[in-house]
Amino acid sequence: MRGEAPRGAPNRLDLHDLSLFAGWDPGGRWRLFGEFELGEALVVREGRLRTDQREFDYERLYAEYDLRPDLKLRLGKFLTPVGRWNLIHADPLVWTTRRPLTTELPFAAHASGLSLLGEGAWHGGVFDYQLFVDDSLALDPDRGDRPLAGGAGMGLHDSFDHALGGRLHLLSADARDGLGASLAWFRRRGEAADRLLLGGDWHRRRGRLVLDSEAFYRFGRSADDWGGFLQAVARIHGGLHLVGRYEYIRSADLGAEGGAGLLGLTWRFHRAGVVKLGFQESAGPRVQPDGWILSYGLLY
Amino acid sequence: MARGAYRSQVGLWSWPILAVLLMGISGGALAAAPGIAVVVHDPALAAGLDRASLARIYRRWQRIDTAGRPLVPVNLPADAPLRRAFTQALFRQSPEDMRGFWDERYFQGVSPPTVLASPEAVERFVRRTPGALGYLPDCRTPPDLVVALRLRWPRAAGIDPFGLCQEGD
Repeated sequence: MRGEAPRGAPNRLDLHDLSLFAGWDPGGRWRLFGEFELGEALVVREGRLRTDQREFDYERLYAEYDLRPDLKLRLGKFLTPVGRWNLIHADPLVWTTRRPLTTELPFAAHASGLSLLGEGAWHGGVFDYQLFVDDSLALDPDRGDRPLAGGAGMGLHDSFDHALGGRLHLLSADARDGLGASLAWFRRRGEAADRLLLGGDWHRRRGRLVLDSEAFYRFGRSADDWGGFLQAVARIHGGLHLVGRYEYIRSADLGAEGGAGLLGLTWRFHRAGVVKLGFQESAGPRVQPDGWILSYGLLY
Repeated sequence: MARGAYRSQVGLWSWPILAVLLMGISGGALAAAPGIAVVVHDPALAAGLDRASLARIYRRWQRIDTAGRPLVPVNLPADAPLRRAFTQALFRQSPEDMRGFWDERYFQGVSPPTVLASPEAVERFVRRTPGALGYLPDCRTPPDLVVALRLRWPRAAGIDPFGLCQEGD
């Protein structure tokens, strides 16, 4: 559930996402998993309750097969393995009310096709990798017209036509440090040319402090895009955390460049529940307006 | 002078003896400190199991053995001292530290290992379930169970391992 008081736009309260995870695991090499989402089922805007903005979508739907103990094959629709945020983007799992543009502007959040996932030991820690081939144009054509979240009217679509890429992730033995590198070559729906994207992500946990960062560089035909963010989370007391983030991005798609700061409080009142209050101020590309935003999320 | 010389000879003799006695006592105590025995249903699994694959299995990343048979790891409750020690020994984290990891795994459609109430329940489950693996204090591991791996008791666990051997005696 989300409440927004954006600058220059009416206040709004909505039942933002209602997601259902469904899986079937018969205990052998095969298993199935799906995530089905009802978005914006209820919206209160300018004092009026509306239900006509609701949309149903399957976010993920795939079959997974264990080729070997350390290697899996995934077939279907899955989250694009670029960066860390996109792979764990559920509202109760992330610290802020708003997603950094770095994690959603440069590539489509989902891919449809085939993926290979592997894992191994590395200097006492773990490395994992995920390679993918996408053919959304053939396999998920209905999604092609869906605009990027909050980006309706800007001509940005949250779908690949086709894509190829992967991510390598290293994790320390105590899981307190992680480092990832992503590479993707793709054409997004509505774009005239293929793009090459390089990405990096990093996270560190020390005592009360959690640091996260992601950055990307995307080569374009006429102009390149690049950007990144650094986010710090400090535990104040119990489940209450202070969150700060700064992001700088140059978007050739939006013809804008600039920074955005976000300051917020996140209260994890229960293992499965989180309340977040944040204020965002930006001077760069805008997909969503600046201002206050409050959210409440539950994960069961 | 003669008494003094005798005393010094006694002193020279006594130090190595004392040192050997102390080493024996401390060595004996260390030898008696229990480790954590990873027990498995299938002897074939024991052959290829190392720490890295055990960690993969308990993170529910690895779900089959090399022959393609499904694996069924089991845990003790999060507040059980042995669970805490096992988690610390294998992942260098406490069960509480791993909550974030499991929340992310839920989102990826993966559930954590099944939790059983006691070491006795683990014994019973591992005995009768193909593909099962669990952990017990090695001082209380029944001789008929296959021990695939032994983990050292972690210092950071902050739990007296001797208490686990005395429980139920």
